Parts: sequence; structure tokens; C-alpha cells
Amino acid sequence: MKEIAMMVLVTTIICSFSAAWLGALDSGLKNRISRQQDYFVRGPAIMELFAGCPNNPLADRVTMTFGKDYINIYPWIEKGKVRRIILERCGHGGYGGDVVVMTAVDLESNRIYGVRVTRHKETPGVGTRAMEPSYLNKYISLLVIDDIKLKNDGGQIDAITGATRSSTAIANGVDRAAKFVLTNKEKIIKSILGNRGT
Amino acid sequence: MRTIKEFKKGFSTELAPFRLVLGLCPALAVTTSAENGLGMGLATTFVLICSNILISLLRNLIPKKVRIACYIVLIATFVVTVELLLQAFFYPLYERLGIFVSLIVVNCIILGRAEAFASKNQIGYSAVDGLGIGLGFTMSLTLLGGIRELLGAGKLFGMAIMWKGFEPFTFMVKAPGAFIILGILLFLMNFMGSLNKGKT
Repeated sequence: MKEIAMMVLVTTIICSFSAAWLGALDSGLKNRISRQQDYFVRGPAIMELFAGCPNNPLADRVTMTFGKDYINIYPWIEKGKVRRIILERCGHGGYGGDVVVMTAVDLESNRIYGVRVTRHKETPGVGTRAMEPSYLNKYISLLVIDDIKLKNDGGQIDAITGATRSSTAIANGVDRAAKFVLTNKEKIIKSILGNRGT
Repeated sequence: MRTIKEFKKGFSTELAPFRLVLGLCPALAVTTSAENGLGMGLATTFVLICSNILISLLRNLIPKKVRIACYIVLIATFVVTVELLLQAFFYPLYERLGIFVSLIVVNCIILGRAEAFASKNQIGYSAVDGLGIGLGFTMSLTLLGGIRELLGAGKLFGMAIMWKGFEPFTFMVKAPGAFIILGILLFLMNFMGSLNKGKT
């Protein structure tokens, strides 16, 4: 009995110390890690999508809550008006879990302006083929109002052969971003301009 | 004296990938360039030293029956620490090493040293043992990565050093290249070992 109690006690103590240490470290480094991701991942993707943007989309970022999700939104502001936005949303159904997709939407024409993938756990050389700009550019100028899907599911976009699940996850991410813009357009513009005003 | 002996064995008789043939998963997977090999090796060394010290410190406290579980928790803690530190300070390296940083948890070198050495020896020796084995591993990974990068891309640590017009063997930086180079290095190690044996 004493032996079992000792085993439980020691493992519990070790686990709690580990958990406390990692929790502290994570919250301590959170801001730094997010800044590194801005610099190395989000920044370059945003610059590619918004070439020629007059403001700094990273600096004018707003974060909106939607159900349980936090959605980062990066605006293109011209003459005091929000012309285009980039939304960061997860696409479900990838081979290695969720794929984080950046979808740029033109608010005047309500069409997709560009798509990039920023974070994923897909297989290098297989799933990543669905993330090349030449493929992602096929999403450009699809209407936000439509259901954005792969052709296999009755949609508009071809899947990459051998990377169907990665392609599906990306299409899902774009579709979820489009749906969010469709239903919350006024709210998004308001919070972007409000954020800039203060 | 013993300290030096424990340190040196990591480079000679217990050189992890080439002599013990342990830790082959990262040795094959991430050594596409010298820099990746070096980064992976140093990350492993850090985890190895920390886990060796802590396990040696707690060796009399941890009950025998749950020791493996306790070791794994401690090792995993250090691995996540390394992962967070890499993300915060060396993000590009973290991106290139990818999933293999988290896989240090199941690197058999680390659990092997914990079980075979740290759980039976004093803290000082355990730390030196971790340092020796870790640096030996780093050296081997850097060598492997260096050879592959040199032949596969004509570069070393990202700098072009081969002559103009050198046609890189692209397959060296792909998976099969790793097996071939590792095989050749193992052959050379064993060949030299048998030569030395012949002399004495």
C-alpha cells in the first residue's frame, strides 16, 4: 500500500511541476512567438497578397471573436475606406489536422482576392503541393456568396491529385472565411475603422 | 580522470549514430543541410544534459516501477521547452526541423542515457555524460548534413563552395541520399575500427 501511494505521489508531483513550468514558459513567450510568426510567416504572406497596400496590414490588425474562435483580420485601407481584408481561418479535414488559411477578400466586388497557407502539418512534398501559389491562385475572383468547394464535392476548384485532403482543408478554410465575411461585413469594417480611430 | 573518460566516450566508443547506431530517425530525416544537423544536434544535447541532470538528481526518489513514466514526463517537459524557445528565438530553424523537434521525446539516445547512466550515477558525471554524448551526436549529424548538403546542393552552411558548373546530386538531399551516406560512414567507421584492432 505504501509503495503504491509513493508511486502515485511522485508521479503526481513530477507532472504538476512539469505542467506549471510549461504553463509559465508558454505564457511568458507567447507574445514573442506571435511576433516571430508575424515576421517570418504572416508578414511575408500578407505582403504577397497585398502587394502595393498603402497601410501596414499587420499594424492595423483587428481580432474578432466568432463563437469560440478568434479571427485575425488584416485590412487594406485606402482613403479612409476598407477596400480589402485578409482573414486567417482554420480549414478542417487536412491529413495532419487543421490548415491555417489566409483568405483575402475584395469588399467592393465581394470576390476572393487571393489565398495563402500559413500554418499546417501536412506531409512535405505531398500535401504541400496544394499550397503552391500557382494552385492557390485558382481561387481568385470566386464569389464570396457561393459555397466554395472542390469539384469532387460539387464546387469550383480542382483538387491536387494525391493531395485531396490538403486541398479539401484549404477549400474549407476559404469557404469559412468567405461565410464569415458574408455575414459580418459591416461589423468587420466598423471594428477596423474603430480600431484605427483610437 | 573519470570525468574526462565519461566525456570522451561520447566521441569514441559510444558515438551515438555511428557506433551505437541509436537516434537514426533524426539522423536520417533532418540532415538535409549542415545547419539543420547542427540545430537538431544542439537541441538534442540541451534536452540530454537537462534530463540527465534532473534524473540523476531524482534517482533515489523515483520508485523503480514508475521510473520510465517519470523519465518520459521529464524528457517531454524539456523537449517542449526547447520547442518553445526555438519558436521564440530561432523561428526559421523551428520551421525547417518541424515535427522532429517534438520527436526528440522518443529519441532512444535520451531515454537510453537516462536508464543506463543517469539513474545510476552522480549528477556531475551524468551532466558530463550528457554533454559528451550530445556533442558527439551533434558532430555526427553536422557531418552527415554537411556531406549531403555539399554533394546535394554544392553548399556548406548555405555558402556555395563547389566550383562553377558543379552539377549537384539532388538525390543526396532526398531520403535515399541519407541512407547511402549513413551506410558509407558506418562502413568507414567499422573499417577503421577493424584496422585498429589488427594493429594491437
